[in-house]
Order: sequence, then C-alpha cells, then structure tokens
Amino acid sequence: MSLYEQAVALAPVDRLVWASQWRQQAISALQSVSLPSARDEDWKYTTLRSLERAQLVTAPRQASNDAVSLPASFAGRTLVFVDGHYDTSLSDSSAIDDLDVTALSAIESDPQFDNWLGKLPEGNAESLATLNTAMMTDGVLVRVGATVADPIAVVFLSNGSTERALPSSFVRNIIQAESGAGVSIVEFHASATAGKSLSHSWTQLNVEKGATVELSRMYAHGEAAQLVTRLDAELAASSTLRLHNLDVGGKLTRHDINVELKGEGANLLIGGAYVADGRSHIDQHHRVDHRVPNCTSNDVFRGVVAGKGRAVFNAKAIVHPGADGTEAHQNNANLMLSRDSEVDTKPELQIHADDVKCSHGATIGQLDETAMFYLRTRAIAEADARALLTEGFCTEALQTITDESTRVWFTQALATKLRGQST
Amino acid sequence: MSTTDAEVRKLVGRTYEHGFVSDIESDVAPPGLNEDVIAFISAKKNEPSWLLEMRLEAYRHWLTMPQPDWAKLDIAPIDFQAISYYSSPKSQKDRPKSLDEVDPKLLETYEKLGIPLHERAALAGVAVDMVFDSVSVGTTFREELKKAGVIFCSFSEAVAEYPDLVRQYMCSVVPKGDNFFAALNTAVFSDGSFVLIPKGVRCPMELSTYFRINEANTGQFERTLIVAEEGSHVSYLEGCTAPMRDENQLHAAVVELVALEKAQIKYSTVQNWYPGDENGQGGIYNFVTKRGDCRGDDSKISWTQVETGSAITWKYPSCVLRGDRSSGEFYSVALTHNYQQADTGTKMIHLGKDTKSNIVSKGISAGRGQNSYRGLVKVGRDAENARNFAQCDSLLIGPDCGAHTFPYIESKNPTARIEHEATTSKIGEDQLFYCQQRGIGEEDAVSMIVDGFCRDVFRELPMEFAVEAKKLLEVSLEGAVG
Repeated sequence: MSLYEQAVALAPVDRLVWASQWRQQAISALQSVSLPSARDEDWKYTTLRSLERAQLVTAPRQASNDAVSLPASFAGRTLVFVDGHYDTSLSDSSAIDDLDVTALSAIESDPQFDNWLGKLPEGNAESLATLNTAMMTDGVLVRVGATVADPIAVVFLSNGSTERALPSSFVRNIIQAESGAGVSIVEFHASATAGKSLSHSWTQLNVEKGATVELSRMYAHGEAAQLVTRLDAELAASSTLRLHNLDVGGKLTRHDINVELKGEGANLLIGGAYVADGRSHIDQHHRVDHRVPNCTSNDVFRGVVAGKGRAVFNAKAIVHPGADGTEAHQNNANLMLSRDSEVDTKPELQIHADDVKCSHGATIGQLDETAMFYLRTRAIAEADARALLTEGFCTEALQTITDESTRVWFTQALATKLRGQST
Repeated sequence: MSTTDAEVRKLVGRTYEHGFVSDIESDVAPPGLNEDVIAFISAKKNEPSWLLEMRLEAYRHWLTMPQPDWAKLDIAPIDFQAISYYSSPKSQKDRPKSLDEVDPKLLETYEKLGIPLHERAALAGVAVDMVFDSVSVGTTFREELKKAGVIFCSFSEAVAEYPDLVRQYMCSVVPKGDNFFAALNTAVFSDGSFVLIPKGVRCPMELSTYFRINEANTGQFERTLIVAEEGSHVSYLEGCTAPMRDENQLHAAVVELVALEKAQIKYSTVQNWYPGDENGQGGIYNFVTKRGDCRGDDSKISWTQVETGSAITWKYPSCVLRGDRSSGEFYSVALTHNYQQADTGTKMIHLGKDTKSNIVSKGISAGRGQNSYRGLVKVGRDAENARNFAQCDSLLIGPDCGAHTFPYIESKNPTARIEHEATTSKIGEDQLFYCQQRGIGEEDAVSMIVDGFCRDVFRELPMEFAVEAKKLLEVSLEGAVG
C-alpha cells in the first residue's frame, strides 16, 4: 500500500478537528510522494524498505503505570501519551504559574496553529513528516512565559506487536518559549510492550527573544521498535536552545533535527550520545542554518557501536551570506567495539560568508589500550574497565545538560545501557 | 575592510596572462559524437580492433548514463554534440626527430608561456612529453630513459608498440563505465602518456608532461596510464595552462596509476587553465577522473595538486589501498576566485591490512569563488589496523565567496582508526596586524599567510613545481584582504 492509501485508510479524521484542513492538505500531498530511498542523499545510509511493505494499523492505546519508568530523583511534572494518545490517568496535570502544558486533543483551536501545522515539507526525503500531519493523533503543547524552575517530562509509550501488521503512532509537539522565558523539558520515548512498532514524532519549537529552552530527549525503545523523529526549531535574537539526545534502544532510529538561527546572538547546542548494539541502526541528521550574524552553534555527539549495530551521523552547518561573526562547530567521535558493526559519519560545512570561525572533527576508533592496561593494573576487571572508559567517553556529551535531575537520569540510563552491552 | 575591497577586486580581477591563441592548422573532426566519429578517431590513430571495441562499449554505456549532478557546482548544460572530438597538429604526419625539428610555432607557444622547453628540460633534467592539443609532438630524453628500461611515450605510441601492456592495464583502475566523464573519455580519448617503470628501477629523472589546450571548441580527452612494477619508483609531473577564449571548453581526462609490490608513484599537478573572465564567462571545465591502485603489498601512491585554474573543477584523485601495508596520500591546494567553482577531494579506499592514508586539503576562496572539499574514507571489513588522518582547511577572502566541506567516512572494521578535522576561517586580522606592525606591507603579509597556510602541500611538490605553485598563488592573491 502506498503512503497515500495508508493515510486514507487510517487518518484519524475525528481527532484534532481544528487541524482538519492541514490533515486534508497533507493527505492529498501524499499522493505525489513515496518513502525516501538510498537515491536521496539524506537517506544514503538508512533504508526504510521494511516500512515499504508494512501494513500500518493503529495501536491499542493501553499501558500500565509500570511502563512509565521515570527515576524517583526526577523532580518534574509528567504527561504521558500512550500510542499517540494522551493518558490522563498516568499524567500529572496540576497547574504551574506561567506555564501552559496541554495535550493538543484538549484544545479547541488556536490562531497560532497555522504557523505550526501549515508547514508541510516537500519531497520524498520528507514524506514521513507529511505522513505525520496526515496521521497525528495528539501531542503536547508547551507554552511558557517566564522562567520555570522544575523540568517537565513528556513520556511517549508505544505498544509493540508480534502480528504481521505494524502498530503505528504519530504525535506532534509544539513548544513555545515566550520572550525571556526559561524552561527545561524532557521527552522520554520508550516501548510499553515488546514487539515491533513504528513511532513518529515531530516537535516544533519556537524560542523567542532572550528565551532559553533546554530540551532533553531519550529514546529507549525495545529492540524491534522503529522510530522516526523530526525537530524544527527557530531561534530569535539572544535566545538559547540546548538540545540533547540520548539513544539507547530501538531497531531503527532516525532523527532529523533542523534549527534556524534567525535572530542575532542566538546560541545553539546540540549534544548527545548513542549506543547502537544488537541489530540497532541509529541515524542522526542535523541541519543548522545560520541566517543572521553573530550566532553560535555547537554539535557534539559521542557514539558507541557494538554487535551488529550501525551508526550514521550527518551534521550540516550552513552559514548564509551576510551571517558574519558566526561560530559553528561540529564534533562526532565513535567507538567501534565489534567486527560486524559499522559507522558512517559525515560532518558538513557550507559557508557563504567570510568572517566566520567554523570547524568540524570526526573520529572512529577503539578504546585506548594503555588506559585499559592502567585500569587492569589497578585490579579492575576487564569488563568493568571497558564499561568505565566507554561511559567516560560518552558522558562528556551529556554533561552540558544543566538541569541536574535530568542530567543524572540521562547519564544513569546511559551507564546502565553500556554495562548491559559490554558484559 | 571596505578600503581593501577595491584592492581585492582589482587584484582578483586581473586578466589571464597566458591568454593567446597560436594559429596552427589542425586536422579537426567535425563537431558531434556518434559511433562514426569514434571509428574515425580510432582509424586516424591506426588502433587495433580491441581498442575500437572498448571505445564503442564505453560510448554505448555512456549513452545510458545521466550527467552527474551531486557536486556542489553550477554547471551550464553541456552540448556534447557541439564539441569536436579530434584535433591534431598538421605537422604530425612527418614527426620531428628532435626538438630542433619541432614546428617553430609550437615552440613559440611554449616561449610565450615562459617555459623554454629544451632549456628547461636540459637544466632541470626533466623529460617532457609535450601534448599539444591531442597528439604528442616531441619527446625528450627518450633514449636516456630507455637505458634505464623506462617506457615513457604517448598513449598512441604505446598502443602501437606495447599493445599487450596497454591492454593489460588500461581500464583496470578506472573501468570504462566508471562514471559519466570517464566513460566519455574512454570512448573518445585522443592521446596522453604511458609510463612503465620496470621491476626494481628508480626512474632516473622526474617525468613531466606539459598539457596545453589550443584548438577552439575542442574538448581534450587525455589518458594517462602509469604502471610501476615491483620495487620501482617514479615521480610524475603534470602542468597545464590554456589560451583565453570565450566558450567553455570541456576537459575530461582519465589518469590511471598501478603500483605493484613495493612500488611508489608520486603524481604532482599544477593546473592553471583559463578560469573564465571576471564575470564568469568562459573558462575550462575540468572534469577529471584520477585513481591509483596500490595493487601490491607495501606500495605507495601520492597525489599532490595545486589547482588555481579552470572555471569548474570536478576532480577526486583517489587511492585504492588493496595491498597489505600500502599507503595513499593526497595533498591539495585549490584556489577559486571570480566565479570559479571547485568540487575536489579524494577517496581513500582501505581494503588491505595495515593500510595508511593521509589527506591534507587547503581550499582558498576569493571573489565569488566556490570551493568544496568532498572526500571519502572507506574502511572495508578486512582492512585490519587501517589508519587515516584527514585535515581540510579553508581560507575565505571576501564576503561573497563560499567554502564547503563534505567528508564521507565509512568504517566497517573495529580496528581502524580514522580522524578527520576541518576548519574554516578568514585570514586572521590579528596575524595581518602583527605583520603590518613589523613593517611588512599588507600584500606581502597576505602572501606570507597564504604561503604558510599552504606549506604542508607545497613541501610535497617537486622543487620547480613548488616555485611555480607559490608564484601562481601570489599572483592571484596579493593584497586580497577581505
């Protein structure tokens, strides 16, 4: 079945009725696109062949409290979505000043939505984003007007299936930080039950003048889950976005992160780590557009590949004409721990202005044997020494999370994953 | 910086010094490309039937291929039927026996370039295989090389005299259907150079071919094949300039290098073809496929290039590191100004164990020039302990130019170590200030900084090329402070 036929059969037209014109527009746009193939440069290393044959179905929308496994130390408020639907019984919906956190399904209409939902990227490379608009069931709207101390967690759970058909869910999140506001948000994506599933999430973020947003995202799905995400952010003058990604699960993961630096003095940090073991395939695609002068961007990722895992990394920084005073840096380092693993990395700079400082670096290598030896001479078992060094290597990219409870949560999740992987 | 903008424009906009056309009658094929034209070229050169067959197969394959569009280049459509695919100086029929007998007009052409060939050849101890348009007209030092057992001749001669060798190695590194422009070259190649260094021989002198495109509307399709047998060593120099004209000229060359066990090949290029005028009119299209195959264990291939000419450069000298412990090197300086575009880089394919590769690329963009580094480092599953280091730096001069970096890194072996780093910045104002404060003029300061920026590459060049390369950059960049 083509994407169009799947969307016609499954699109939840009774949901988010206020967005139906966008949904209809997306459905008809699907007529002329298909899934991206290796011919599309941005999909050179990641195939969606398994999706081509898949028969999508809606997922059961049920999950137990145990599935929401947030650490006790995490201080924030929590919203839970199961298979793309808001679950009131699992969520904490108490009100906080200056902060509006709502499920999209609870909203009647909002004039600002045109800005968000009307954005339909074109072409095969973006066909899953179009599918998202056609199929979205729910998502979170975060609107923040001042600095909020405690972080917010939004949990997305997916149920898996062992049947032929592929349970799928599509969510859309909108985050708006108003002038001078500050907020820390966690997106936690995981499987509620084992088995195969397809989750697509699209987050749109607007950081207004002088605002600061910290968005930390963890993906800890089961080993048969497929996940595709997209993030579009726009940064106004003197605003800051700190975005962190941690990938510790899933069979196929693809992240597209697109950030536009539109106001002078905007700051962007993209940091993260991924562990691709078993048969997992993790693909990071970042694009940062420096459109105005004096912005900075930093993209720092650490990766570990083991088993038959494969990691793909592509970060593009594009400095547009006139964007003088730009600083853009990218760094991707990978540890390759097994014979059947593979790493394909491509940091990319496209620079059309001269007063810039840009750099990138990429490495693929192994653990330092002398460091291993040092630890072994201190009576640390080989597996522990390996885990310790690997952990140290990856954690660097998560240290820039400023919210402490989030940082602790993420670094622990990473450590747990690495220990499980290397023993 | 506005005060210096005018200077930048003045200096960057200087006209091409080597722009002139010498009028020598040529034997030219009518424009157009079809199987008859290919048969005509082949017949003109008295080629054996297997070579004609190879040309036709390449042509038929080429017909099925689309022109590649993945490079970050803006290429005006090329009308392949408007190009004449064969041209040779008329005096070729009674070939000169020595340089004294060479058409004085030809020699005059080289004089205009400031390179008195015989003098230069004698003084520098360089054997020069002149390629004037498409057919070799003079080869020097042939006898001396012969004593060492080195074969250095035009491709046509090689086809006539050593058909088995040519047949064995031709298209073994760059297959006839490898890519669009390589397939076109294989179908219509005119001439080029053939070098064979026998087992254990260290070539007694540096080999050099001077290319020059001369006939208007004639695409030039060179083919170079260098085979270094076991334990041999050769250094090959290639340099080019071209006369000024308005229409774009297509140049699609193929260079194949084969290094057998313990052999070493060093291939150096200084390319200064006509880059087009300051409005981006005219200029050479330089679409070249260069690839070296480190076929034997412990072999080594080193590419060094200084690219300052051509309107568009599309060129990726590559190394296939097949033999164990083989190594590949790539050193490049690419300069673009006015509307010049360059998409260049290298591919290092690690297949053997303990293979090493090193990449140093320096891009300089001025005016509205666009300069891209595009590279691939690929480590195969069996390439134990492969090691790669790549350094790609870009220097920007002026607000309208562009510098881009596209490094592809693919590894399938857990013992491989790969490092890539790249930086992009403009000429440091603090560096300029420091120099000027010490009484060094702005132009000299820029020249010094650029020279320093390119030093890692220049020192890989043979002496006389290094001097020429340095001069070329100075001419293009004096005072170009953005």
